[in-house]
Amino acid sequence: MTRYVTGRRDFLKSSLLATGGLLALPSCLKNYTAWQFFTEEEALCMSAICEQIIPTDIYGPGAGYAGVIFYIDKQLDEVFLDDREEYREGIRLIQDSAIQLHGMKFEALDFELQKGFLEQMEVGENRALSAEENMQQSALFRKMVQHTMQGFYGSPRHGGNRNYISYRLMKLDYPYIVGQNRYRDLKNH
Amino acid sequence: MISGFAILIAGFFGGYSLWNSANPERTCASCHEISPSHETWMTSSHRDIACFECHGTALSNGLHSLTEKTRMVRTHIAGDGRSDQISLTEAQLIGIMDRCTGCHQEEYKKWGSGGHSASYADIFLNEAHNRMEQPYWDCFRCHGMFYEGNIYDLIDPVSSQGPWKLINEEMESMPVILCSTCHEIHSENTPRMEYGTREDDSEVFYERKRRNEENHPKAGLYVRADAIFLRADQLPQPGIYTEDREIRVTQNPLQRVCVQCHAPDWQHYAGTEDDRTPSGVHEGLACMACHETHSNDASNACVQCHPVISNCGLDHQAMNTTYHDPGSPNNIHHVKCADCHEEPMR
Repeated sequence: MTRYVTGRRDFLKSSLLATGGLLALPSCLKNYTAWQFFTEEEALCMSAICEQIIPTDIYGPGAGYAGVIFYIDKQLDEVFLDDREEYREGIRLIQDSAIQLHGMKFEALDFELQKGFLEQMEVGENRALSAEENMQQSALFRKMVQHTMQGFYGSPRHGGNRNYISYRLMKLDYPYIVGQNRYRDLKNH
Repeated sequence: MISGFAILIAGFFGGYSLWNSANPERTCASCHEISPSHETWMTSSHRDIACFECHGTALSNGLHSLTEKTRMVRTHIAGDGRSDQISLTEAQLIGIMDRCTGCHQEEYKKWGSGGHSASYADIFLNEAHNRMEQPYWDCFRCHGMFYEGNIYDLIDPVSSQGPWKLINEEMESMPVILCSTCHEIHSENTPRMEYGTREDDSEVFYERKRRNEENHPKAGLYVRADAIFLRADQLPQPGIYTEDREIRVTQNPLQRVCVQCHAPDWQHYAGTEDDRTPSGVHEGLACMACHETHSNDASNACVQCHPVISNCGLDHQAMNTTYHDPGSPNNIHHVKCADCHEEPMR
């Protein structure tokens, strides 16, 4: 089997950097979370919203199982940089208004109450918010729907669609079952 | 002075051994990037195998592994590492494969004696095949799926003319289908129970597994396109057709792994391209009914169902099929009654 050769220079470089880095060991004492962008509280709320948008039903698992929240979290950290503030502020408004209207955080509401809350958010009729806030929240909801769909139906490489669950629900043959691309066949087709 | 030095060395290696054999929660998994891998390992059939037994230690491969581990520490401290970025390189997977053989010697020997142990040279420098089909990116779907590059990095020229050579000639003997192609080491499953380790007979059932744990297929497929491993039961059930109907395909989930690479044409016609899905008189059988899973050996396949002393008195092994003679027109995978019998049988 293969043996690997490492140059002395490469080794020394890595060693020196690591040794220097040891001085920063207290950084390990930070509380790490599974999230790249969201806080734990925001992730709980966002997970509940995703599950409302694509719920688990008789046809199969929803956005929760598919790990859509991981997709959105990852994209907000790496790609959707312009949407970060909108999400952060929007989730804060959702939580504040859920507490004001129902006395508890959004994720703690029962499923039907969550659904009603989001329906009002979609059409901009949240009684706890100003007209301007409602407009912003309505736009954010559309964005959340879009991102949830992307996470549910996109490639698992980007964080969602765990084990191709959406493809299986749609009965797609994926990974494709297709043989070789022989020239003799190309001539025949 | 000398004894002090000896104590220091002994202490270092003693402590190092202790570190490697300790509960991973206190060692490897104490780095947050490793936690998800640790969690999957905890539910896998390899949960009783310590991390270092598969992944090696910082000293197991000389300067190379020491550099590798040092780099990991550096990445961790710099805060650049995330759990979803952790993946093993092809070289690391080959290293792990060496260690698989420590326990799975029988499987390794069988794999080595069959077609699935083909090397990069066997596949990518196959002149007859390259003249028929130009090497291209999709080759990596079933061969060299862990290769970290594209076809232009691997072979030259990328054409159907040749002569071909691997750009890195050291890869010629490297296998293109590793254990990790079909087996996810951290996949959720139950460990085999050794005789004498069970506390209560009632906990044990078929194949010495714990009764109260769900058993999943032990195989699946690494999907290069999305860099994920799919368990066999999560792969699509193939629909295979003849000219007039859809044939019955076994529900054995392992069949779904086979058909991913031994696949029919885009119309899914039985017997086209690399398809070996049994049709004709063998319709509904799984590949594994005749082929040993690691070696693909089918030398005793017929007698499994057609014993020499059978009611019909026929020696099925000697019948005019490709099992008996590879040049026979009757492919054993698709042979029909009418291929040998002119009149309909009554």
